[in-house]
Amino acid sequence: MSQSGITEYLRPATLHEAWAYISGGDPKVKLLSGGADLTINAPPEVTTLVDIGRVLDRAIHTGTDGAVHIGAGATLAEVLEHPSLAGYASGVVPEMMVHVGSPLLRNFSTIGGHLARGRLSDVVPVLIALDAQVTAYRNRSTIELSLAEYLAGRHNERPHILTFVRLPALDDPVAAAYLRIARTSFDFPILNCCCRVDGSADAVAGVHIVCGATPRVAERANQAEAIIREHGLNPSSIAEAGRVAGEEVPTGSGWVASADYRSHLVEVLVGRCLTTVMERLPI
Amino acid sequence: MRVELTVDGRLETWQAKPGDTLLEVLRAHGYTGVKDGCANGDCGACAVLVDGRAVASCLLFAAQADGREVTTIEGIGGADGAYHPLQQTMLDAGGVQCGFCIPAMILTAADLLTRNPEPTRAEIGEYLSGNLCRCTGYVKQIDAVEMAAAILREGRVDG
Amino acid sequence: MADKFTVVGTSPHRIDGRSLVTGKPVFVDDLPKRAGLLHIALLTSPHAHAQIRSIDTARAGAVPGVALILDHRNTPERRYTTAGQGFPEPSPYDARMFDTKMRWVGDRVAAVAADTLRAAREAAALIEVEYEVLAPVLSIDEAMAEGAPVIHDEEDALDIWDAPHNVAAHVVAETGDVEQGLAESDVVVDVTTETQYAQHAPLEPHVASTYLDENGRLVIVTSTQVPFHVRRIIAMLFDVPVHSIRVIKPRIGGGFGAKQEVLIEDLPAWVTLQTGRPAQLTYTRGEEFISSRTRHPMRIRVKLGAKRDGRLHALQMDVLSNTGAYGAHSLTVLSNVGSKTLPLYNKAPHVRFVGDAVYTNLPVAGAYRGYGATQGYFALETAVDRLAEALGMDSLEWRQRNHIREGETSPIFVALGEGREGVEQTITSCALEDCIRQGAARIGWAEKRGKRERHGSWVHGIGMSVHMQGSGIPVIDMGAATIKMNEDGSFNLAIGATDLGTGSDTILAQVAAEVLTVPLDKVVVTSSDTDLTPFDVGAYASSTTYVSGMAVQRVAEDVRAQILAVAADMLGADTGSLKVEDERVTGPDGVSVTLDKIGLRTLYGEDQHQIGATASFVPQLSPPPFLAAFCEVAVDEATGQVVVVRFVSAVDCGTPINPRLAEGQVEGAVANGIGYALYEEMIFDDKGRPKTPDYARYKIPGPEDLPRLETILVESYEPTGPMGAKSVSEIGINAPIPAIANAIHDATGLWLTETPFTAERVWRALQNRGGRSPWTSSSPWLGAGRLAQTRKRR
Repeated sequence: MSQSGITEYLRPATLHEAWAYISGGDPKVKLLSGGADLTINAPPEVTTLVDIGRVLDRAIHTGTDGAVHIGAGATLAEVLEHPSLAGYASGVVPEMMVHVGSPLLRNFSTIGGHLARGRLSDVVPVLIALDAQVTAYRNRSTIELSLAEYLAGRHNERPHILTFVRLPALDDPVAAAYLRIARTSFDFPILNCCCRVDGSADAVAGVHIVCGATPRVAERANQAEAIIREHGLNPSSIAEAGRVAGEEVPTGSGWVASADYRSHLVEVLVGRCLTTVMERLPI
Repeated sequence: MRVELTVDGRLETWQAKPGDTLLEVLRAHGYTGVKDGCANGDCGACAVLVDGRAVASCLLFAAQADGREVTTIEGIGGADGAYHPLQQTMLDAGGVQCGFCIPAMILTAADLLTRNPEPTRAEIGEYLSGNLCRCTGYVKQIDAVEMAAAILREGRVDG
Repeated sequence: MADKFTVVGTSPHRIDGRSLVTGKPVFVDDLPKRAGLLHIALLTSPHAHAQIRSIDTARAGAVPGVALILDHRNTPERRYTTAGQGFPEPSPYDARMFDTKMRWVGDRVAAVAADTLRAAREAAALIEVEYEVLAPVLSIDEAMAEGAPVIHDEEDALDIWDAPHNVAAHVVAETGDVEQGLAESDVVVDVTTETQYAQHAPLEPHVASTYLDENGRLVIVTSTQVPFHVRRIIAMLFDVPVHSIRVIKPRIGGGFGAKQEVLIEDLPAWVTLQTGRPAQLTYTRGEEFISSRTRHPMRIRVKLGAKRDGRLHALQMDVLSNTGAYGAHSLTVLSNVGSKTLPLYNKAPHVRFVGDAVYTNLPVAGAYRGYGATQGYFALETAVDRLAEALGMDSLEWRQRNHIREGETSPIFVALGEGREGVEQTITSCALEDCIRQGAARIGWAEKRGKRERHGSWVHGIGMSVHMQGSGIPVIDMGAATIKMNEDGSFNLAIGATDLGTGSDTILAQVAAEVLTVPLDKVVVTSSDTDLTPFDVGAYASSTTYVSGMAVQRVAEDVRAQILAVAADMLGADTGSLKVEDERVTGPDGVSVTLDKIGLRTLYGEDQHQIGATASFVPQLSPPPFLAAFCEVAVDEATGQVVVVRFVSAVDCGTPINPRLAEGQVEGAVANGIGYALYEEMIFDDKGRPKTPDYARYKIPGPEDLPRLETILVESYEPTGPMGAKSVSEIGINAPIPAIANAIHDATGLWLTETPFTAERVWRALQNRGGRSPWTSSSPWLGAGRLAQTRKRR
């Protein structure tokens, strides 16, 4: 149903022009890149849309250092299909992206719009596990910060436009894996999980264990990570990490799943994810 | 506001309200082959091609289609009303029951076949995952896409 | 059998196919909007149970473009039922167009008709209503509890079984003495199952459009399964003559029973009659979930008693049905729980069926494909598996031992009709034995049953279930058809029968074409127009192929006889010596005349008269189709997820008139049943408010969620059906719940008794089974038994 409260649709020609529209912090003015959410979920007070779909960079490429640069205007389908993502960290981004929504959404929904929304996501846990950095544009200057910091809200308070996502260059060997549980294939996740290990199974240089749809967007299982860091990646440590993650990750009850069940799924998915990561790490 | 777009090869210039969705303006201007099943992005019945890619038209503002090429079911066939292979095979395979999901299903499958000419049944199901049908159980619809893919690969397009 | 036919038994394209694949404007909302159209928006109740103390529409009426606001003060007060059933409807007259009491969240408060939908919605939001909120009754148990609020306390309702106790309907049927029978049995099983609220979720929501024609008659164009019932019920509701109304059904986007109802037509119709202007109401998807109809949630207890050798000796079924806020279909669905299940195991001498349909302050349950049998088969067919296990028998063999066969009858056929006594009948066609045999071979029953094949933490299992349904309602349903002949040897076939996407226009044309010996495109179909087509009850109770089909066969035979009479004259031969084949009538000496010459002569030549006829058919029987379902599931013991790996349906529908369309009916029904088994569920909060009113939260199966459903058409020949056909549209939906439940048992030992079998439910059942369920990942050497039993909460 069309948003009858929307009375103005602006098409700025530049990033700065777009930012100027939102710089006042007026809650009636909203940025639109892909769409999707705003056509059905615009808060009632929104009167003005600022379409930045054609202003945002949408290119995806791998830098000489191996970092992957993604313009915030890239559609989720472009992220899914681009060879740069297939070749990065076990291809965990497309492994996840194929489950996000459906092609009818992915074909126009943008990565920037998705991250700016920051709710109920399969994308966020994976990007957190990959230490994704985002670039925010504000008044002719940009700053780069980690996605984790961005979502923690410190930067969100001031009007800005997300312009880029960068997946950092990988120094050590890295393997990652992603799993989700939902009722059907085109459904919100009940729980999802992304695990990433740097180094080797015996000499772990870094661990990320991130669970989402708990229903919080993304939770790091720090204690579980510590177990892997300390004991390496083997069946025994994986089982222990799963168990600990199940206890430390906060879960909530809702009509689709209870907290108890979600906690159990954390243990199962973390165990399975880490096992797959172990299999993907070069010996 | 003014929205200018090409629909099924026709240049259209429409007056739209800023909050109008692409689905609404298409249907309001007679493109009734685009269906409204939920207006919430959940069922896929409103799918059209925008610059060749299948999208849920209820989730796009009309203004986002400005300057773009939109294809509806009426624009998918050949000249002189010739069927697109998917229209033919959907009938041949028995994939049409009530028909409400069909225009969107065909358009989405057409998008799939332009980028994956030899999809497996799993890949077809995956690309159509946002196109709901309550009548058929999808068996014969997926059959139809396989059949159309074969026809297109062999370059045989029946009139 | 089918190979003696030319058109019947083949699978030509559906005759409306071109319009559907080219996106022609054939659905109600596609049709050109008439000048002056009024759009209607609803105001529905935010409370599950409340009295309306006052309504103030002053602010609403001031919105520019508003033409009329309807509420209980300016609309007919008479009680009726919205159920699309024959007259007299076997449902309580407990509804009003607009009531002063709201009985569920979604009940009608008011309706606004305005120049634009935007204005109508704006105005509806400005209507001020004062409610006296009452305590809601949100479950069967609450409704039946001592001192429960009375939901239907109005004085003018009719045919409510026991309104002060919230009982809409009550059914008892008995043969023998079931207590004695159970006592005499060597083995008894006792199973109670519960099914959930589910919704049809047709892709096209309810929509109705009305206008006055050039001569001031009311025309209703509506997405309905029951055009003739719509005409009658609207006429009765408005106290206008039936002949002042015309109802037309164009193409509709699915119904599944939700549209076997006079759900919304009254609103635009009333607006048109009051204003003279055309009007339209299209349900939003939210309204389709909340303010439409649903399946009856049920609690069903089945007790089976058998002798040591496996013979079923006693069968008891007790049903509690939640009919929601109003009683449409409450009695008939309740009766069907027993009438379509119990005769399947007809040889038990002691059978008792007791059922109650209970009101609650929740969405109104109505007709939904399967119509009570779906819920009943969950209880019955899982009880059968338990009984077989207790007897130490293969459940397939047990079923083969006990199921009904051709030539047999069941006392239940008479004891349980649709809301009243049924009709005695003997099974005149039954290929169930063959269905079981073929289905079992296809799934690999002998090879896979009991093997619990493992892949990591996924364990596989095989289950089966068998079913019968009916073909129409005997003695009550009627379908009619009219044929007239044209000068080119073609025919117009006018049928009241209602194609809701099922393809009935096509198969009925095939029947006519077969009898008249013409190709399918020489039969031009007009259907579902109360002015132009003869009567038909509409599309429900799996009636169209059998009932409407027989009417078509009869009228075509009549027309063929007329053709022969003319040909006899033209050829100078006796009608008895003539042969009709391939659009030509041939005399004994080999001289022939083609149908077009006959047609031309009768319209323009000599002895001019219109070759044509109308025929009706009232079935005396309801010959059941039969189905044997075989399912392979994989259960992930670590997460409780259930995946249907294979689903095989072996179906006997007599002669399949159009095999591909028949398969399509089975496949679609099975798909719907799988969703109902695994994840479809309407959930409410403690105030009766819906939590799942959209496709995002109420999940139906998508293309990635189902295996390639397998259908085996096993032919029999029903002598009382058109070309040997029986109907097939409902039966498939009954199979998935019991077949999946039985397969889950084979895989895990669990007996699940509550649907849907969500992952969490299955996981909890596995936990409660006791012992540790080992789980492994894709690497088999990950240690087992690592599952902690308790969660430490932070």
